[in-house]
Amino acid sequence: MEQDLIDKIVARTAREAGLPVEQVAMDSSFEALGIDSLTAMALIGELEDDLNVQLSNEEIMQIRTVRDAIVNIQVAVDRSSAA
Amino acid sequence: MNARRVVVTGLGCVSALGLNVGDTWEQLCAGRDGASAIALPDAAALRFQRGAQIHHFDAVALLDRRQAESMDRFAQLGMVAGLEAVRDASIAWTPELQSMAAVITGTGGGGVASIENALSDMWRGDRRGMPVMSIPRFMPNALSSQLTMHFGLMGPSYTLSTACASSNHAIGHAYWLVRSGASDIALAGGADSPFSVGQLKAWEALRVIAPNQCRPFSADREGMILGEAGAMLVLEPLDAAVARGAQIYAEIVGFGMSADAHHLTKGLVEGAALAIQRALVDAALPPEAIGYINAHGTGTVTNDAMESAAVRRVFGVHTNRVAVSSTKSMHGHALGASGAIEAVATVLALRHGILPPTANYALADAQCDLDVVPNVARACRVEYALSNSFAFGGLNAVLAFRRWSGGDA
Repeated sequence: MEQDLIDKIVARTAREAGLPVEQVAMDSSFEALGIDSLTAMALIGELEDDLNVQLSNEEIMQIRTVRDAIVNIQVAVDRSSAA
Repeated sequence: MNARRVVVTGLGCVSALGLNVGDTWEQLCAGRDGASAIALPDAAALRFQRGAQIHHFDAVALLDRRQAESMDRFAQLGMVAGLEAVRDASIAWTPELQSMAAVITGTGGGGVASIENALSDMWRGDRRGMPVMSIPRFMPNALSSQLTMHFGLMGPSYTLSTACASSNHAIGHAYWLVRSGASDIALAGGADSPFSVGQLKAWEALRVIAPNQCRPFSADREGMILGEAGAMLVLEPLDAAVARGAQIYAEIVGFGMSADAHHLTKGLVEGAALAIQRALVDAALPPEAIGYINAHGTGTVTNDAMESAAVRRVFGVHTNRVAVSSTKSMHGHALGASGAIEAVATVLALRHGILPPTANYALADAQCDLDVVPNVARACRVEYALSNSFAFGGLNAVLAFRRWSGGDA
């Protein structure tokens, strides 16, 4: 997993949640961080635009935690690099 | 005034399945999926390529040219449906009837495509300003207004916008207006046309659109297929309809509404169940009376599981004896027009004793444990039916209809 990518996703999540990055654990669910499903989807959408990658509907729908987001976005980055 | 009984005496419908009620109903009974490749110049930029788009709709041929040009496509679809419904009802307008005629329509997006296209032209530098007709085409009440002007109707007229429940809310309000005596006749329904790139990209961002096919209640469902449509119903007091010898399709007997107060896009079982219960209470019917439900049935993972749970909550053990189908599998999710086209389908199901199927159904899902009338229409005489609409924003509206047998007026 690329550290830059992890840092970017954690930082973006922390900003949305209004928390310091130290309080965003990899296994934190977006819901537990006070980020509802629609806002989480918007957050992932912004990251897709920033990184110029696309996640499938299925990949997005299975994201519950910060780790899920990192894993699925990394897969999309790898897919994009391989294309 | 005592509450009046209200009947449906005219139907009009334009959808991807056909440009009139007869063709649409024939395709619904055949279980035909109306989705096709989206025909738009920039469609390749979308993550999904299919929609229940109407490909051979020529508004100028079907309407007066100036009238057509003054409308966005959503209003054109609704107008053509309105003309068909009024023609179908064989109404003989009199000044008294026109004065008491209501026009209540629903739409989710109104004429947003007209604004989108004009803005696009302006920002690209093709135009220095917006066209004069931008606002008249855009305004969500354009369809109500155009219908009142065309037929000279001067009763209550307004437009409701509650996303995917818009036209169920519109028909329900029109029903109450006629039932209470506030109006002596009503045109009610809705229209929507989301086939502009901006609107489609906005739907794409929500991740609710299926890449290929809408498969409501099926375990392999992947989302909705967007559609466009206009559908209108004529509602009259039973006594007036009988007195003038009107054909009667069905009686509308109940209307229930609720709000989830929960989430912008995720429906809530309790909210949906409340709307169903309120429609039954309004109709003074026990749950056991219902034989068919035209489901909201969008084909998204969350809606169909939520709706199934809501139906099971209201109907309990009777659930297994209720046929529940989603015609969105065929005409697509026509957003603010959905309730109206589904009301047309429900009324015709009662009239003909044929339940339209849930098309594209492939795999049973334990979370959608309903009799979904899979893939093939079913001959089944039903006395009472419901039509559900559960909108984004958690706004719910359910209509109840009764089969018209003709002998109990």
